[in-house]
Amino acid sequence: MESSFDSTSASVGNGPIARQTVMRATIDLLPDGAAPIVLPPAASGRGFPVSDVPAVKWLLKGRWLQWGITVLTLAVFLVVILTGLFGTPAGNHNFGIIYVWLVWWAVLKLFLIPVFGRFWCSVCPIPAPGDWLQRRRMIVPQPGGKLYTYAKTWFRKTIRPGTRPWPKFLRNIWAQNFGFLAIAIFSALILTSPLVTALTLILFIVVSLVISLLFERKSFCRYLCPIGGFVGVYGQVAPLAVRVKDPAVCATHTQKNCYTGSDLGYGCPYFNLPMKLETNTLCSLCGECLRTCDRNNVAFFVRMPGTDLLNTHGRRLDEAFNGLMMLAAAFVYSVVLIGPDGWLKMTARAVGTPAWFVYAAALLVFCVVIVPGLFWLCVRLGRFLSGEESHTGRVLALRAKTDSLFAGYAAALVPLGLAIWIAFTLSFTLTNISYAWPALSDPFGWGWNLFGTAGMGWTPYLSGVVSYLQIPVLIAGLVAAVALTLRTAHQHGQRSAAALPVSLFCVLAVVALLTLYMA
Amino acid sequence: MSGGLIGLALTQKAFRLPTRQATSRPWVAGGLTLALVLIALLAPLPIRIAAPQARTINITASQWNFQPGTVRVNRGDTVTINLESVDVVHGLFVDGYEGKTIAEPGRPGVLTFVADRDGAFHFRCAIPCGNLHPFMIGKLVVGPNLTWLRAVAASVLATIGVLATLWRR
Repeated sequence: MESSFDSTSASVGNGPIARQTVMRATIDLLPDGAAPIVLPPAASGRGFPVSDVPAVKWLLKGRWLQWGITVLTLAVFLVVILTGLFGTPAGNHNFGIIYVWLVWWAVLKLFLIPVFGRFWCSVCPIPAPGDWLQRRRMIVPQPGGKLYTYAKTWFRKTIRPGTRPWPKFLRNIWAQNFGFLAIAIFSALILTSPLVTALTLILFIVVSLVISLLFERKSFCRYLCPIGGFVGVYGQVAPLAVRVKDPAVCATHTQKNCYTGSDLGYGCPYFNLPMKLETNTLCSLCGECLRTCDRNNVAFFVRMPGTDLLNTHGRRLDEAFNGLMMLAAAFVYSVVLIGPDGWLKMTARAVGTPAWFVYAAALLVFCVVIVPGLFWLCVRLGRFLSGEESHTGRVLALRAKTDSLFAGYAAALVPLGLAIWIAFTLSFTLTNISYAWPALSDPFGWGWNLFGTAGMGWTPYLSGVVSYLQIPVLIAGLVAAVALTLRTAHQHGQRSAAALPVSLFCVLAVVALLTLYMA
Repeated sequence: MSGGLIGLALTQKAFRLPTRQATSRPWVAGGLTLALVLIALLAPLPIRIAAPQARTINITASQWNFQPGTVRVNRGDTVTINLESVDVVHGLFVDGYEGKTIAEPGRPGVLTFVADRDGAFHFRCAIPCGNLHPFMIGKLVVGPNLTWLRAVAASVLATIGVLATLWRR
């Protein structure tokens, strides 16, 4: 593999170092007395480098932990597919339904994303077979981190290692956003039918396999997986992150093993250049860069939760839309699945009927038009309330024409959206998790009793305290969201009043959800 | 509660102002906000409650629907739920009250309890009855619904408090 590096081919994530340089330059243009600009977190401390602890470093640099967890999740995944295809159609007795939509979903939303960000993606079973085929190895890396794909042959292009033949217009998360919506309109069926769950997962693994054979690295995970999109966006809240210790070291290092790969590991599977990473959105914490960096300049940092969100400049519209769409989807699910209207649940599950088409259209309009439209109006109203932009604002506006205020404000929805999803998940997890015990012993519903738990009946846990768990979670998400709206206004040179409409949007969202659940 | 505390603490930390503006105002406003949020969530309120009554509520269960889906009573009421099933065996479990009854077609179930806790509580089917069984849910609202009122008040106060704390002229 060539060792030269073409910086233009690497991902810029959503906040390149170059932007910081420009920011610093603009500070010099500001008049005396102008509001100070808050530098992005990359300029300040990065937190505690937990991977510098020898035992942790040994664990993370080795490949066995990640490989072992992936094999375990793949084994569970296969059981899920088999039970879906051949097990009982009764969802609450089927291993696949219980362990995917109850156990995995709850662990992902309540624990993995808030603490470890996108870590799930690095041990997800769906891309694993494709990865192993692409690498032609399971554990020990190929010399030079070499990958085997057919893109060069099939697309008749000369492709340097580390570059992407993936279509340029798809190098974003729009496909992931619309993929999530496509699943959302079938969700009542997928969530309750073991067969449909199995077929959906088979579809995922086939698409992932084909993409892996054609395109380098984890193109499916980065650009197509509907789960990866929102896991990445909400992963910005997590206190754990992979970053470089000193960007200056990277600047003088021309090899860029972290991107091209080396004998010690593969180039970043997500096309990231670690020195440019400012958020967790596109980083799965797989640790490849930790293994390949020969300057010991990459680390896993533990820092303040939500640090990634403090810089509201340079936010991307596709990620903003993901935050809005996920917020809207949480409301739809809360109304349809948790609400008291049985006809709505049956309509959502009656795929193909005229009523279902109306439901699907309403869901899409709500998620794609109404909620983003209301948010856009709030941002516009904020600009009006802010009055004429300050001198600082004009300077900053000149800085980058693509620096979307709409996307900047949408970053505030990340903690709020995650809080709303946690509240939604809490509403059904504690009361239904006891289905996991019999499903473990009798995964197919065939009358087995592998672990002696098949006879355990349904027992709702802590059913009286769910509301008392949801309230502080929602208030914490709201507080963070409102604080971020003000920060967005200040960072974009607006007056504080500009944050009022978006703050009102956030508080109304929380009050609406509280009303749905508690009134 | 602890979530709110953590949220406010993070906000203070994340938005520490430059030296020139690092006055005590953010901490005073933040502390006051926290106090008001706690009061909204926890303070006893002098609310008059209607005299307790005995209420009988007839609920029809069918796949995957309770009719009526929402039941409203007052705190202190003695509630008797007559559950009738029109298709398969259904159950009814009331979250928070932990009461349960089962009904078969032609054999109704009865559940009696004293609604001594205010708030909204889901009631859900307790016997697997089909694919949408986990989502066969209704709502029991015991008034005065102070839990909801307190949560809404705390949310609004927290929003105003954060705005006041971080507002710049």
